[in-house]
Amino acid sequence: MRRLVLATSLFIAACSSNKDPFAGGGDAGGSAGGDAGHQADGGLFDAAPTHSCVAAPKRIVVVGDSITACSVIGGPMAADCVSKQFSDYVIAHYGPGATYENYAVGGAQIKDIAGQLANAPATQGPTLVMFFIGGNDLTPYLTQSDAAAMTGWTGTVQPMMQAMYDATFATLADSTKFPGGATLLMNTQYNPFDDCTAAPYNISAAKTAILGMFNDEIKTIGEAHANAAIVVDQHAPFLGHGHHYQVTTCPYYMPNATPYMQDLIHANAAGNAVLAGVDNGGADRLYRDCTN
Amino acid sequence: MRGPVIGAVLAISGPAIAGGFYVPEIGGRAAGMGAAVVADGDDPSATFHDPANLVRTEGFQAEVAADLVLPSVTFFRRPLTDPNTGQFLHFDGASNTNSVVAVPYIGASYRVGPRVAVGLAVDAPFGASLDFSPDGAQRDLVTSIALRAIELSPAAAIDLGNGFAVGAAANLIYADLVLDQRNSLTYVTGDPEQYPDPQGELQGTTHLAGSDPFSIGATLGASYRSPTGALRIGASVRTPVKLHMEGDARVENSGISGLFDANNNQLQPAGVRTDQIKVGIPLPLIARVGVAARLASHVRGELDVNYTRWSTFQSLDIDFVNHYYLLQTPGAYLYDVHVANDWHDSWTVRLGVEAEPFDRPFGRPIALRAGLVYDQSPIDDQHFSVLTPDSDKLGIVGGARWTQSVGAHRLDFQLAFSHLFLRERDITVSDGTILNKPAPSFFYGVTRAGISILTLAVAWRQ
Repeated sequence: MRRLVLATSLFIAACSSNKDPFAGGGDAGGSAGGDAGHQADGGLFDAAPTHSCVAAPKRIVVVGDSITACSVIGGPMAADCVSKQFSDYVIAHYGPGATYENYAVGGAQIKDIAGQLANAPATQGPTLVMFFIGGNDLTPYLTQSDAAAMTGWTGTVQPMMQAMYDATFATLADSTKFPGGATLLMNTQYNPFDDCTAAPYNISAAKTAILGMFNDEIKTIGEAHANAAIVVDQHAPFLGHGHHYQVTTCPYYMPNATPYMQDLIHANAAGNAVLAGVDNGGADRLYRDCTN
Repeated sequence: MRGPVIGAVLAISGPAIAGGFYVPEIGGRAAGMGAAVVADGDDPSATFHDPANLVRTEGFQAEVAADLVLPSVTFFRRPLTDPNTGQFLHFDGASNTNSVVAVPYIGASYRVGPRVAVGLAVDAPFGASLDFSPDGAQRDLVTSIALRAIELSPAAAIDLGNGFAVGAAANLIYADLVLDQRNSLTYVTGDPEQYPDPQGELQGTTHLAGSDPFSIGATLGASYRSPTGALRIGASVRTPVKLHMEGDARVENSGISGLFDANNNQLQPAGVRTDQIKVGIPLPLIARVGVAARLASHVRGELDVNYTRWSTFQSLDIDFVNHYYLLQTPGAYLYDVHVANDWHDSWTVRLGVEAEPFDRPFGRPIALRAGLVYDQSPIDDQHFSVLTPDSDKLGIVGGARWTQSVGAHRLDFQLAFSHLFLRERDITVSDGTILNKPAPSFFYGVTRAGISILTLAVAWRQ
């Protein structure tokens, strides 16, 4: 009987209040997990070719997909976000007082870049535009046959890239839209699968080769617009740090390599730091290590 | 698919009342007695509680009842630190938004001979219905759930003589399930614990709906009544049934890729993915034993013990038929989801008392009833989720019957009110998962719940 009375009081106590037991901010369950304290490799572009100097930026405009939108790492203003790290670096070193505007959208494809640039209002300049795009155009082919992937690359993605970049450079040359001029910092794509065919992802060599062609196309386009653009390579720094970073049979395996992937397609904090480090190197080439 | 009788009560859905999602408060008298009516239940609801007691009914009887259920569930998710941003996350309490749920019951019995009686009932002994805010702290686990198992039960009972009787009912069951929750593609491509509170474009909706048009089970019963009627004993067993739900899933998220066939023809647009699903849900074996006695002149009491073999509900498995991809990235597809329940068998003790204090020339027109229920939850803390926010319960019940003579017949108006106090759950250790990946922080927190039930019933007795 005592137990019943005790149980009764416990039940009634349980139902007598809907007061938030966690009000006041205490009693946190701790972090949800994670180990996000890695640092960027950095310094990968010290030996990169020099670039003609451009005027210090008063605007930094970021467009692209979830990588530059930082959709899975806290958003465009998060400290770990590649775009935020990059803009902070450029503002601190080369463009004091410059603004940071991020129009990137998770899931964006090449065809969406024109719309994102259209969202950028005409304000002050010069402008440094940074973007990361193409991953969402390429991933559909990962699950298709090598032949279908090659057809998709040559028949769809490559022509679309050329058209998009032509339109982009035309937009950037519009002085009413970008007073003071605009310079484009173009990123190549990293390979989350380390250019490796190992299980469980089994990404074929042909598909890795397509990624290489995609990145080569970016470099070619960048070289063709050398006065208005610079290309930085995000592919090489990630090799050995993707999903196969512990697979000894992969060609870029390094013992004790730091993993850079947060999930199947996005970089973690360490990976974002590396992305930012590479982009910062691009800014150094534009504003510091340049030739007049 | 839905017959006319079943169709008449398709509007029903009830929250989990007894252990798990079992709802035994069926019939006006049973509701007023805390469902302690296995031994002494001489009305059409015997078809559900103990079919053998149908032989104790007289002539033709019919009853219509409705349980108006008022659930109250509030989940306070435990605060945590976002591992990506370092931001301290505090969540507002999330309460259910549905205030009243109706659970109807229709039953009839007929004495076809001196030793044989038959019965027919439509009831809903298993169900759960809870709606929450789509933006609440519980949203990644559930924003809405509605499970209902509606059965049509024909029954027959035989008087074996010397006070013994046996009976059986066939339970022809229609069941359906609707489950809504928010989703995030980051749970598919990554570790949910890395995204404890996804916002904005990362979030979408998942809607699962399935039904089992026909399953069959049975209820077997036996009863004994002493020659004077002072002592009654009853027992019944409800056989287990496995519901095989089939239906559709619709997953919406702005990040979902278009679905293309090998020839690059678009099968489904970007942002949406639909697929067929199969879900199996076991309805457990339930054994009930009761002893009723005349405690005083016109005062009867009954004590029941129920055993429910919930251990058969080891997991909730949602199997997708086509496993369509969400992102054209390895691993990012609609894969089968396995939710470990590991429910335990549970016991319930029910105590009911009924008094008929006023004597009138035409009988005793008023009955007053009271009950007490202790119901053990089959769910331990490690497997507790606001999806099925069950907990150990203590219930108090009161009820009344008022009889109006209509010629040689009687019309009973019955009223009952129950309140179930649920033990507070404070979850600090959890085996909870999201998309088969450990996600305990989504389950950590305090859940407080209570359920009130108002039962209204009208019965016609010849």
